[in-house]
Amino acid sequence: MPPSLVEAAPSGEFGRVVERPDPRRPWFAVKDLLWLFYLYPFRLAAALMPTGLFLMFNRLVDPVCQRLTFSRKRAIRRHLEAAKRFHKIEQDLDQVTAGLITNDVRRATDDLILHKLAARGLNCTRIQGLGYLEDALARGKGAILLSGHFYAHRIARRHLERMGYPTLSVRNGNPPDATMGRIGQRFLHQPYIEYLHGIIRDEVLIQDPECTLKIFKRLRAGGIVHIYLDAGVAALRANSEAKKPLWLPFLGTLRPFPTGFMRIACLSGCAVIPLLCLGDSRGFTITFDEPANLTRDAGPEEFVTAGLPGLVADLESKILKHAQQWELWGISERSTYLP
Amino acid sequence: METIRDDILVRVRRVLIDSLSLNIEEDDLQYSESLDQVIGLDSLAVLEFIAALEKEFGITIEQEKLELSLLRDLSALADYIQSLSAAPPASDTPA
Repeated sequence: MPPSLVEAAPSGEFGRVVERPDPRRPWFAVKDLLWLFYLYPFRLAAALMPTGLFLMFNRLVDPVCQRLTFSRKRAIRRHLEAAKRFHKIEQDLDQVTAGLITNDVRRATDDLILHKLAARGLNCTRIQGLGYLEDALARGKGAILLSGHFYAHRIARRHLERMGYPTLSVRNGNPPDATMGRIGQRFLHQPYIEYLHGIIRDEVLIQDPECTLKIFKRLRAGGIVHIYLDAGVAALRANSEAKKPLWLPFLGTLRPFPTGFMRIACLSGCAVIPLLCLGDSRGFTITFDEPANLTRDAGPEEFVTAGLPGLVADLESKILKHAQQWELWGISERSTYLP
Repeated sequence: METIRDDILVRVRRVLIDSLSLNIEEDDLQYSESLDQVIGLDSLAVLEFIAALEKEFGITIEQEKLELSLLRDLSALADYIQSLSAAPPASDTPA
């Protein structure tokens, strides 16, 4: 029996993730308390707060978080060092590590802003390559926007939605969180998932049995689907030979990459457009790259094995260039460090 | 009409086996069997099945019909394909 499952959800509805407590975790962790505070009193207060106060909150909380998150910092540092053995990272690693913690906090406050229905105060400073998306949509076969887990993606999606580009997000309904205790896992995990759903809204969970079909339907209707290419743990949950992940070297580790979306792209004939969103609600940029040049004639298998490594290499170079913006440093639990 | 439907059902069954390279004989696949029993709930396999069906019958399955509930039921699927074949093409419909 898998550790989690989605209760059968009627088509088109948001599935409820049922979490089974992991007996290896401690009963209680500091993060449980932080999430309790964040999800209840602070979220409720934030609904009434002017956006300016969020920035003040960031400044107050950041130094505290820098001190409290030593285990996350250690994991980030280990991952950065592994990447540095194979690649060039321009910035000082301590600076990147501290910057990532700051961005963790900023993203938590940006989520609060997004949770407000009006969500004012999103400042998009530049959009590049929108023509690539428009051209792809004009062909009527839809587009997959492919990105890594960069902090700015949720605010960018909301901005694109307002511009008339609604995007279906594909998300893990049971994201791993090794730092939460059993009490938090039991009582706060589900409210957190629902909170995220309130922010993302237009989404399908990978645990939904109709996930692939819903993606296909959106593409066939000429719509847009956003996929995280670096969703390694999600890739490992694949339940069939066809969806089996492809393991590739990535930032000094060997990491599983999802292949199911490539098969959907092959069958639907949609465009696959790499997307990069950087910054936070105070100022962010959205960049669409030229659609990936993928050959569909050779069949789905060849389409995946020939196309995916190039997309992964492109994402890796973006992460190395914007190391402070990638939220998965230190979280890639299923990666194997390269010798 | 029954003969047409039976013929469609036979072809649906063949498309299912061929498109998913299933290691079963056509005769072993009962008409009453649902897709779950044959290939589980692998929705990616369902997509490959859809693509092969559309190619075989020269149809496009309507957006609202793209549901597992229809696709997993071979018999209902044959009825649906027959209804599509019976309907006149949109261009032939008088204004």
